[in-house]
Amino acid sequence: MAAGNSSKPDDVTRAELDTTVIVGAVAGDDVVKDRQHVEQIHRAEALVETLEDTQERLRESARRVLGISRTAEEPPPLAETVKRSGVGWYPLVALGLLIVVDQFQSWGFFILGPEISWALGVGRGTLTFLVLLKTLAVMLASLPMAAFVQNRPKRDVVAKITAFGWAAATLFSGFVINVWGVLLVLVTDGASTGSVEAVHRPLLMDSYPPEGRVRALSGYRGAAAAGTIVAPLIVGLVTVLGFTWRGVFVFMGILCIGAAVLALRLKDPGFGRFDLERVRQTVRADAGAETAASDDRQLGFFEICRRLLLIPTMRKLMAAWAVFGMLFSPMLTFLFFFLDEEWNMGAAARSLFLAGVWVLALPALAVFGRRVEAMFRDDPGSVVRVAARVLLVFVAAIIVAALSPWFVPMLVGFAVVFAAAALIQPALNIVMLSIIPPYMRPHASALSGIFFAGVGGISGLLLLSGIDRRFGIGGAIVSMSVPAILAAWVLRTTARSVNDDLDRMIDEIVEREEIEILRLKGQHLPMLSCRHIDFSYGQLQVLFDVNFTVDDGEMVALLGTNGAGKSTLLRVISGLGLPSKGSVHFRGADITYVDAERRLDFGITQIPGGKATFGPLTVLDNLRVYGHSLGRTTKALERGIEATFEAFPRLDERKHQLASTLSGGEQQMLAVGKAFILQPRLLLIDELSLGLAPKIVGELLEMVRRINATGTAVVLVEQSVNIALSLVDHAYFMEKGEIRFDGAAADLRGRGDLLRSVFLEGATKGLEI
Amino acid sequence: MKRLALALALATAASGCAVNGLAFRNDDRVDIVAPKDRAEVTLPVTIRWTADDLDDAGGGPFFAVFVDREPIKPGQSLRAIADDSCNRTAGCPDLAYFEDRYVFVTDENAVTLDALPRKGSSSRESAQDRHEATVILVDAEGRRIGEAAYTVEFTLEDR
Repeated sequence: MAAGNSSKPDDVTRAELDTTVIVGAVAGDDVVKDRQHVEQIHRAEALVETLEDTQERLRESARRVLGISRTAEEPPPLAETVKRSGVGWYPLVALGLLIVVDQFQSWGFFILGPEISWALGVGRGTLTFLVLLKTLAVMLASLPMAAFVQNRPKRDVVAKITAFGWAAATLFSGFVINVWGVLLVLVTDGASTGSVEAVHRPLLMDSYPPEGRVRALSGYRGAAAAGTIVAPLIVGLVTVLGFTWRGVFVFMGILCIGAAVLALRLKDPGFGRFDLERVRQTVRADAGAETAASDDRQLGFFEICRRLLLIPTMRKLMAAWAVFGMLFSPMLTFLFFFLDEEWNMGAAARSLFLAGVWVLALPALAVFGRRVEAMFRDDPGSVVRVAARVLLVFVAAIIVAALSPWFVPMLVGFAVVFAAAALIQPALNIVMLSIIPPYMRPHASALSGIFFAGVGGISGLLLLSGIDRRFGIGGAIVSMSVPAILAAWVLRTTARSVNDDLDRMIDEIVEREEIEILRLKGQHLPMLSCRHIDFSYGQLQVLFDVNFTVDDGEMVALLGTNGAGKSTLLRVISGLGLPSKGSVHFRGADITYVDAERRLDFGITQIPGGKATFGPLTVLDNLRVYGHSLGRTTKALERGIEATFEAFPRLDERKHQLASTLSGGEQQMLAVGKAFILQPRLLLIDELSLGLAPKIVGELLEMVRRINATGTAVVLVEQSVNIALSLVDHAYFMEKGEIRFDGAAADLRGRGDLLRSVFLEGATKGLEI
Repeated sequence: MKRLALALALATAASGCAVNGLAFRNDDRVDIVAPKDRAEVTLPVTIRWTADDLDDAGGGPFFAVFVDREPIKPGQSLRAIADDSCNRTAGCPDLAYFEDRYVFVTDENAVTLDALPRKGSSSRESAQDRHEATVILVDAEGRRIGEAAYTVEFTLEDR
């Protein structure tokens, strides 16, 4: 280990260091020691590599336990699957009932808006604005709900409480007397409806085994369609019985309360008992172990959201949801105007029409559910391709419906449009929710709702309003075929990445379980292990399949030419950049998508190259800022500041001076002070020596060595090969985003083929080498 | 903070909801008989209705017909339609003032409209010249009685 290696000079000139490199004059004992040390790390690394073999070996069996049999055989009857689930039909029926009544208030305001406006003397524009606020509430509420149920199997509680919430909002809609009352009931309903997005589908996914999930989701979508049929009929019926809009809301509110009571027996089955647990069991069976993985470092809310949006399939699906929302969300509004203006239908006739066009969706979902279930078992990607084709049917039907001069073809056309729209949703949902771990499903579901209704719905409304003004309502309806074709194209491209992302999820579960098993078996794992890291800045990929390992207390040099990707790799380790592929494990835990702030708590600290200090702050304040993560433990902070001043007396002399007035060397000293304050387990130093005088470099290196001697592992990124190799036993060499060398520092000295590029680069900068 | 939020919510609920004086059953005492809903009409157009069982205590009720505008709130006075300068002027608002704003107050069962509001060129209704008349009951003070409102929609032919 480099720590305490007394053969390395304490205070050297750059020329002296460089001479050492060029001659390669290192004592033979040191070379042997370096090699032994690196071999030891490679052994630990090899242990991690065995995980990759296990992942590959178990991938197929994991797919099978997830219900993907790669055969187009018919799935078992749903009744049998439901029976096997142990929870029976209840979750599907209860959630189905909730989604039916959830729509009552919306439909009430949609159909009875004019009556409400006349009765309360509230403008229709105001009512429309309040309904928009409700939509906003639905979107905004779904994310906090996802955050609440994250890592906490309380989705049933959220579903039940919110059901009573919207039941109360529906009931009290019948008692509002002014605009504030309307605002209250609409926003309450919207906020509680957020649970439909965040928890209903994830609950269904965990209630039923993979072999019945498409049909469960289709059944749930069918219930939503049934709600769309029932709600206008209830409005019509209650009105015919002589009640005002108030009576309608009271009646619907009572029905909502009844449904909420019927759903009281809902229970959260826990996260992933039919998928995550099954895969874990497969890994355990393979390893002959009986232990379970401990979830000691779960991702936080924003980490999950960010993680989701890094999954290629998920990104494309979100884009598809947005485009789908763009055409579907405004459709009801435009269809209402279309029926009014082109077919001279009154409010009652329009409501009946809307109820009628959904009828076809019910048998379509029943047939489609079973068919898609079989497809999903064979190839999950094919489900997305089918959804793309259904969208094309949607396009054809909407053109026929909008342009037909006859009523029946128009009615049939819209029935096909709505049936197609209903079919697409379970198809996209099953893919979206199957390629991610169960605890991320509420987030994915909530995000899809935001992309659908928020991003898509609002932009669709704006876009179609413009077209409506220019080409009329028929033109606006026909123009919906454009986003539909766009969505179909997005879906076709999505199909390609589905299987890769499913395998990636399986690999992550397997890897996590395997590491836990190894840890419990007492196997030595490296402190930091980056595996197969790819990283891109936008479209520009800068890291390619990088493997990088650091052991406890080790000092490692990361060398390479300018632009090789060294600093980027440090950013991936410290969490400032997230990889597009690969994993980062720290002390056995997967931290690939953990926020940089949390990594600081785990003991990872980075000193960024050349910009590690805050210029407008004094030296003392800089050190205090470094210690902000220590919270209220001021004693630790004071001790750290003392240690810094002890190590760098010059900083003590200038402690009240602004950092910007310090020399370059002093600023770097101040930056190194971060390590004294935070006492990390792993210290990442980027370009410590850049532009500094050799004497200063010597002082700083001495401090780095001391820090390392206390047990802190150090990764030293340097362009100066001489300086770096004077300090370490283990070195990596990077070129064009790839690791070209991983071995003993002494061996790297002999690799002129690699080092030449660095020397040449140094020479062009006028450095002495 | 939580208490404040709760207090705000309760205050909003209290101000926004009520149980007394609300109409849960349809009030069919007034029935618009002409023109038929969604009928095509020509100017002048007469809106005619029948009225039964109306309580005439206190000199009312009167009918207020709002053409292409939302009626006043229940309990609110027609004076709410008047702007500040009118309210500062003696004798204003009067029936002519209301009629200029397409609000017709009468104790008869019909009003005749010689003209109809012109809507903005971008509005959907103007494309078909569609209009809407809403009849409400007001007392002698011009205050709206109850929540009942009766509406008819019609389209103007060949304007």
